[in-house]
Amino acid sequence: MLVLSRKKGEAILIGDDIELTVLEVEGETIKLGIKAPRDVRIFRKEIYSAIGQANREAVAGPVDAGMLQALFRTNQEPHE
Amino acid sequence: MIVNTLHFGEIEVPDGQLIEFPHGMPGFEQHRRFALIESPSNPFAYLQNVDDPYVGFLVTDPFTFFPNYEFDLDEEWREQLRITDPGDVMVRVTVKLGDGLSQATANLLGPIVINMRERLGQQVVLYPSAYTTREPLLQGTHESGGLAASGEEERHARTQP
Repeated sequence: MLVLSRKKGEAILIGDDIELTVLEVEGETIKLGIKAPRDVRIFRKEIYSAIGQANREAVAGPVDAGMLQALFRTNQEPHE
Repeated sequence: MIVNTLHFGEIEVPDGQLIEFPHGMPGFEQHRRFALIESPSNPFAYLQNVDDPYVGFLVTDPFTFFPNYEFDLDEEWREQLRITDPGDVMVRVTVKLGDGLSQATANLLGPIVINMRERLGQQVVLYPSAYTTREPLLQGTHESGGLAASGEEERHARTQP
């Protein structure tokens, strides 16, 4: 991992069009300003990871087969 | 196309009915093409990846089970989903089954938003949000007996302009 030291007001350029600026440092919290093209998706990692974890747990595995059949049993073949 | 599913065997899905998730979903970034398998009068549906039989999610309409559920869809998400008419939008949430429906939880923190006109989907990451990835599915309803019926009404109310 590349490690850079930055002071308040200083910035980092990533590639041609992403700019990260340290706006504020207060105790353990730093406030970052991010300039990026609109199609670059930006997430708080722990929230993205929590949803990823939830998705991995929610994938309907073999263990869920009985429940799933029961949920869809009263209907004809599931269809689009 | 013929879609292979772990739980429902082979299912024929017209190509126009596929839903493209350009970024996949968190944890499944490479899984991009899904089919939403629904049956009439069932509050649940199945979101099946068409390239991987083992990746499928039980989903439901969150407004059926959580009538007060709401979130703002930021402009960035609306742009990415090319939403111009709110009437094109369908929202589903994944349901994690426990030992029974009484144990089931819904992921209200990461709703799946689909632009049905464009056949484009994204799992939205809400922030800030008071919701979690594990909201008990049956907490918001008084009794489970009427679920299917109320879900049906809700669906029709929402899909018929």
